[in-house]
Amino acid sequence: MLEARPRRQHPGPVWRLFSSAGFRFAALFAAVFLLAALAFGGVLWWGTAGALERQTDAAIRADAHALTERWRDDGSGSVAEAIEERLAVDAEGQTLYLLQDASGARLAGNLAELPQRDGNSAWQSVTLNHEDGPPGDGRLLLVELPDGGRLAVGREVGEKQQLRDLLTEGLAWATGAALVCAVIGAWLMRRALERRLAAASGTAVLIAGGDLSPRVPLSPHDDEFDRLGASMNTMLDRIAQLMDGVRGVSDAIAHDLRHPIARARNGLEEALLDEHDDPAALRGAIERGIADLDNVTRVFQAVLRIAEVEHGARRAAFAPLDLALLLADAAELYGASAEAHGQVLETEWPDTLPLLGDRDLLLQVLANLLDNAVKFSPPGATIRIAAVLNGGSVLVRVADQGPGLSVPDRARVGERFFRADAARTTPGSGLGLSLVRAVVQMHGGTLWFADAGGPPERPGLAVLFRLPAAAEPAAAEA
Amino acid sequence: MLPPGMLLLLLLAGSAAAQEVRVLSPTRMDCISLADRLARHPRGRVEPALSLGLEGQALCQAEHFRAGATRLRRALRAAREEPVPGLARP
Repeated sequence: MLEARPRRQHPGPVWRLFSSAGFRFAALFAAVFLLAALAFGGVLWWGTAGALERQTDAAIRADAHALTERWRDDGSGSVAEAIEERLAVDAEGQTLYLLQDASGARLAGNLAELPQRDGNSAWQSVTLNHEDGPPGDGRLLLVELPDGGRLAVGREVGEKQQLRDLLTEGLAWATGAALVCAVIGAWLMRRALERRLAAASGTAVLIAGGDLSPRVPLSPHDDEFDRLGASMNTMLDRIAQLMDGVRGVSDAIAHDLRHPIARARNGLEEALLDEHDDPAALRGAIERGIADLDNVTRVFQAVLRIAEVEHGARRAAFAPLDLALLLADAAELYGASAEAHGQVLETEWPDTLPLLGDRDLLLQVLANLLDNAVKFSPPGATIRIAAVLNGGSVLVRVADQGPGLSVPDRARVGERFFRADAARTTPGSGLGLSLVRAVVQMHGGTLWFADAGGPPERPGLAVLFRLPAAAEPAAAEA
Repeated sequence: MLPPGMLLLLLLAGSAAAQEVRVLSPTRMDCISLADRLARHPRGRVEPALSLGLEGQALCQAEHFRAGATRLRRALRAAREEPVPGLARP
């Protein structure tokens, strides 16, 4: 069983801000936005500054490889000559070389000394101190030669470094702008969420205050919030309908039971105050009082039975049955009643109508429908009860020649204690068709009403219901 | 004033305390060596290498070794880039 979790109240606006769903959505949005911006910046960096660095490193590596191969082939002198040749055509002064022998003496190149080796890495990023110019940045590859000598090959990367710094600054500004955009976007998103939810929460507050009439205003966007609002409105309509039903049932019970109880009380009081002390009159008054109280009891039993059926409590008692036999029993019972009212009961159904259901409740349904038909049809009228097996369902139709039922009344006829205006003068509690509807729905069927085909001033009423048939014909019913 | 995000990126991107290395400036000997190379080149006396070479030597004689060496290097590069008539380019 679900238990309502107690709602914790936390003081302070900061906690309320962090506990707000709008804030969390907005924070998620900002985080995703920033991640996307960082990913974009990373890719941009890799494709520009990173590419320049990789290009420089590749050129240095190729140059160093060529000089090392030359050292293996022709020795240090050849490498020194190659370095001088390379420096001789480097008008821009971008290349850096140094060749040292095993003792550390400089053999060739334009560097005064080698940097200290930084760990195991052969690559060094160095600051270049020009004797007659401003300092710059350089990238060096240090190679240990087999004879103990050392070779350094490198490039000036000052201009590339400037470009990298410019790019870094641009990316940093872009990240700052992205951060500002993320914060503004998150704030806008939070405000939009709050504004869209304000209508629903305002309506909920009004409903909680006891007024069931407000509804969530819907926008023309037909978005998720409108669908939520529409669902809330449907729920509120249903709750209001149920509340009206409960109120109507309470009023009807008070109204319908007040008369028989008052009548019984008055009859018993008159008998008590009767001066003649006639035992027969006293007995008659008591019997009438008992009859009135029996009617009251019947109304309560009917209400309780409808509730029982609506809750599906009797579904466990479902068993295979033949509706044709129930129709025959009901027709036999009410055929005599119709004959007594000068009416004719016509019947038509096949030999067998297999169903899975509650025999007593279905017989009660047929009895209620035939009782209504006899009650509302004039003498000389014809009442027809028919049933057919149609595909996977059984269709039953009970038609009379009474005053019929207006279309608006047909929608309300399943409500407890509802009685159409034309039936006000006819005895009844307004519970018969409520029970019929509840039983049909419990059996998975549908109930509806139609004109029986009579003249406009007396069209008659046809009550139809369809129940799902059993897979196989029921065995012979006891 | 740089925003905090930019400073962070700069810190991440920058290298940590690079070592300093001294770069030697061209000397009179470098000028002589470069002029000798230009003179030995088959296209060393063909324009524009000739003018650049003379210019470089003049600067070196005026003890502007860096500028002179730069001119001589340009002359050498120009000489290398101009194909020698009758010779296939290496």
